[in-house]
Amino acid sequence: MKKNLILFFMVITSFSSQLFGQTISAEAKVDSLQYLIGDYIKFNITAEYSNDIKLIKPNIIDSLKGLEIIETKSPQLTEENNKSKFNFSFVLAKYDSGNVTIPPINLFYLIGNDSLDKKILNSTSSELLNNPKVRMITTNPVSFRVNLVQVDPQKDIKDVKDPIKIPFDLKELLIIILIGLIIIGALIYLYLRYKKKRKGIVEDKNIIKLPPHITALNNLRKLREEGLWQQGKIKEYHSRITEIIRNYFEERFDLPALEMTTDETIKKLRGKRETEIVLDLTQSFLSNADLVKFAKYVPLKSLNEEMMSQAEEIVNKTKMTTVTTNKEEVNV
Amino acid sequence: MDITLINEKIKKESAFIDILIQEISKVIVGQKDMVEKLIVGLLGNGHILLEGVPGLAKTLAIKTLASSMKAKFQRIQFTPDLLPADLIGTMIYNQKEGDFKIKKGPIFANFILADEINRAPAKVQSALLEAMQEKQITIGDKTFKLEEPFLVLATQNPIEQEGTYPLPEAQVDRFMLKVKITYPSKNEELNILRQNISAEIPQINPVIKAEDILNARKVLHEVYTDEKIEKYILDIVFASRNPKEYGLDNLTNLISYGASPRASINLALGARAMAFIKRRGYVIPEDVRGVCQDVLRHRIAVTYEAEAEEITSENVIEEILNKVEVP
Repeated sequence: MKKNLILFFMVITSFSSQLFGQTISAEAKVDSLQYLIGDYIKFNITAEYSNDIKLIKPNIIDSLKGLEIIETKSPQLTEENNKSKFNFSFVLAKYDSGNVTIPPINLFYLIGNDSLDKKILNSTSSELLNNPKVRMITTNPVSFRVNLVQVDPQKDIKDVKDPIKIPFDLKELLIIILIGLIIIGALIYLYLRYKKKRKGIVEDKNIIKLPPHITALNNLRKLREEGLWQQGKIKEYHSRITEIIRNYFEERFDLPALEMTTDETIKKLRGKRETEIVLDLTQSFLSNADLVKFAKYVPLKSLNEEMMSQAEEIVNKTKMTTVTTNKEEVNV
Repeated sequence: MDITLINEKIKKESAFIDILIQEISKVIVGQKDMVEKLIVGLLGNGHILLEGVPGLAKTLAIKTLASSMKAKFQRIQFTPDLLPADLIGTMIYNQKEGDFKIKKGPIFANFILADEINRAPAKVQSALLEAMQEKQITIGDKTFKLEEPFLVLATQNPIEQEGTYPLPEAQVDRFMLKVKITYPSKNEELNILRQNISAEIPQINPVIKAEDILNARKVLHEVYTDEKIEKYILDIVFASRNPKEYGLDNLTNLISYGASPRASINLALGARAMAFIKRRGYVIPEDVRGVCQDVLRHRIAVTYEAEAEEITSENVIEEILNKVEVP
């Protein structure tokens, strides 16, 4: 019997600590009862609870319909004498006149050893309501009035306000000057670099400029030394020899001979005084080469040799009579 | 085969070309280029689209070409109310025998003159172009092979575009050549004038047979095309697709799409035919350039930017030819 009595008192004691140990209170308030349209309304929700209670952050957006949420401040938690105080602050605004009532806001919480898991934290208000572990407390409703701005029709209409003068900021000015100096410096650097590069190109041009007939004769000499047709590379020989002559025509007479056919080249050369004496020779030279290049024609050895002498004759008979070089003398 | 032998053979087989040109020139004054291109199409087994303002003897040239050969010729005037059946034929109910009989259309001929092809709706154009490609016609459940040589010569004029059905790019591509005809010179026009007001009307006699053309087509395959020429053709076609790679940066924004592989094939065939006409057994770059505009002008599409600057596909081809190095 004594044993049973001890057990009964133990159960009562444990229940009473559960029933009376946990305390929670919630309050909602605004900083004024009267506002003008567009005024900022500071809205506060304070929840005070014992330390064995775990409060779930309230979702108040649905309760604030008709009010504009200007700012949501981060919640503040303070702990004192085994009690916690949670403060949720919002800045609201209302752009319509009339009486406004913010309805009671539900605050959900857990007691004791129940932990705030992900599932609970991600639950909606209706899911929390149906969860047996979760308990709820509501705040008081908050009422206030939003008034229109009183305008006196008897008074004059006020003029538009002057632009606000921004105070002079030395730091800002220094940054602008610094950016300006960097841009100017970069432009000067780029200009100097460009000038230097151009100078380099001009210098190069002075060195490499050779009269077209010298280039052509040099290339013909190189081709002869290679002995292509002697090695059986007849087609390549004829292609190269015509290429040298076409290149010569390009440079000498400023005509795009490399992109022209034999007929077109002859047609263009026909109108030039310098080429009159070699016109027939050029035609036979290019046509013979065409035969080898495009018609599998195998020429006699003598023709291969003749092609070289014809090419040299074309160049020699049409070369420029006076040769000017810009800076350096060229050895012929 | 030795090139000398090929040359000899070509010279012998191409002898009829001179006779043909001579016969055509009895009626057609000037327009040497157009006549040459008609023969290129004939030899290359490709169809031709002729474009030019009215009165430049497009129809007359084709009629004359057909008349100078012993071959069947049909002229079809394309109109907006033309139906595919009017072209290819249809099944007709024979009341006496109680069954359907096939009535072949005018397309069953050797030479078809499709006059003003852009005046007929797309379905008729498609029927013709399909016949051009397949060289066969299906009426009901029967398929008929078209007789060789089968050559379609279509005309269209670039003005009066209202109420016409421009040929889609995919269908224009089936024409081997698109030949543009320009006005004759003053002297040529004087001859035209005199010829037309005189009492004597020149008569065209058939000087060649269809077999001559078929034989010539066989010989055409023997015309030698060097690797350098093939490369030159590819360079031209590829420059139309990737102008930047050929130093033609200015064309990048002007070309909407470049020439198709069909262009390369037709360029090679056209160049061979040109060599044959010139009675040569091998192709030279002149031959390629000779047909380049006609083969490519309808296969290169220019962008809106090019159109706004009045740049045509001909200008683009000209730029390419001026840039691509001749072998």
